[in-house]
Amino acid sequence: MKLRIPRFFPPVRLPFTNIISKDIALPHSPRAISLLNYNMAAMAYSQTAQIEYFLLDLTTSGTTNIELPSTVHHTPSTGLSGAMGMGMNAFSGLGGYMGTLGLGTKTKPTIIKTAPGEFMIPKDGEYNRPITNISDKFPCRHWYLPRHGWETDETPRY
Amino acid sequence: MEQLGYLKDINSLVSLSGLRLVSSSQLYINSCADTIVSLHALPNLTPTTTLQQTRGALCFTIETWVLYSLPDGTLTPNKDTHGVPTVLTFLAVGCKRRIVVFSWKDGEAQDPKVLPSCSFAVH
Repeated sequence: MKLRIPRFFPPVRLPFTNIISKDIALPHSPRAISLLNYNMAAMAYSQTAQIEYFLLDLTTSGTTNIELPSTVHHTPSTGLSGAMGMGMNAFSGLGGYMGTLGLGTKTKPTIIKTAPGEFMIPKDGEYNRPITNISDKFPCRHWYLPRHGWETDETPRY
Repeated sequence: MEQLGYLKDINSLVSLSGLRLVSSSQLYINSCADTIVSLHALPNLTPTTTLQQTRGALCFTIETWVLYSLPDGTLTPNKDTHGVPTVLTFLAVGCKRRIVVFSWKDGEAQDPKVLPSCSFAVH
């Protein structure tokens, strides 16, 4: 059953009970939360969960999965590449003692609220940053940002 | 200390950290066995209020909105209703297999309410 995503700031009046604090059970442990409005939260489970990102209606406790678009790889002109990039990738999946050094740790999922009703999900190791807006169909746009934060002449600007 | 935040509504610092356990030798040990969210009143960071419902907390987020309170007790985001402006603050804490949401209305804490169940839509 697909849940209808409510519009941000619905025109109907909010019942007073909407602001009562709540304790909502979940199938997994959430690793990241972002409140989009007073009755909707975007959440992320760990990367090992079958469902990684979802919307949670705080009023009804209903959930809606967020299906990210297929990964679009953007070749960076700066940042780690070539042998260094391969070296970093080689550390993924390390466990035990090497894992305790932080070399094999997986990135914690992140959800960043960028505007009312809009949030961003950065994906580690990819150059595809989907921007998702719950007021429209989602995801609504993609931004390609330099992985390490500095701009070059080839960095697309928006 | 895992995460820090600021609750403007009650002028408090929000911390997510490991519980401080006292060993038999009366030494303080910072243990990562269990984490919890605490509120530290500013500017002196005291008193500290520990939110016991958040044991095993993994993350939290804080958001504040201004809504308009109508005479019948309802809240609306529509400012054209000429309602009384009300500051609404949410503190959502992600714990082990659950989420706990605390709310403040004009600085007054709202009573917690436990939902009996949660519907999961699997696609």
